[in-house]
Amino acid sequence: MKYLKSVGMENIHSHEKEILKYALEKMRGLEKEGLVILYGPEAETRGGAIPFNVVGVHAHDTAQILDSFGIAVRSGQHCAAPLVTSFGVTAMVRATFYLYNTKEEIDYMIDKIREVPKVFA
Amino acid sequence: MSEYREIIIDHYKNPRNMGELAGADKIVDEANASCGDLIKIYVKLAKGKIVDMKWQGIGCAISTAGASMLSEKVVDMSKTDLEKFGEEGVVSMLGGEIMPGRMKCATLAFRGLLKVFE
Repeated sequence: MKYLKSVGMENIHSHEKEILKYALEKMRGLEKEGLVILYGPEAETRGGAIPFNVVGVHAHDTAQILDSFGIAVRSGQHCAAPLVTSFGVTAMVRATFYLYNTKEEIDYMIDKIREVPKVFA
Repeated sequence: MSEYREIIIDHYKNPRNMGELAGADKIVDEANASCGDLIKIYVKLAKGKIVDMKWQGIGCAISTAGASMLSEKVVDMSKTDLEKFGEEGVVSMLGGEIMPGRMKCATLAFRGLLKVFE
């Protein structure tokens, strides 16, 4: 708590919002290319998380491939099976952002998401 | 990315024995509740041994390849043979290296098959 207070909760919140907005814009770009499917609302009304799937690749496979590049995302039903299945899928990948994440890391993640379908090509 | 060996990709893209098995003696369902992977296994039995297996399911590359490869492996296996084969046999069948976090994927079909003999 001392550390968080020293950074400032408002600063943390605004950093998280900025990173999320940046990541969501980049992810929307991948979506337009037909590479990913995104779930959830626009940046203004969501927390620091982007659930998605790479088209044609199961969430677990995507997560493990991203893990091999040093990117930690969660995959599965996220203890929210009714919500996940309401989108017509059995599992999702979820990227979350916080104080320690940078825009460079988002660029790296976007770059590596492009690598995922190539494993199964 | 060591899990994504050629043999796993092959079985994932061209799963063997996928579909319903008409006249199956046993039909069992198995799931990974935390991740949503599902499998339905159909088997024909004779003298306590599996003589044919087919399956249907939704899953990742590891669970799909596990089911596909197992469907070829278990023909002529009894309950004792299957238990002896064990999870170690599944890992070995898949190429010998599965990360701990993917073991439930790898063994989904195997756990379903054990239920055939319950």
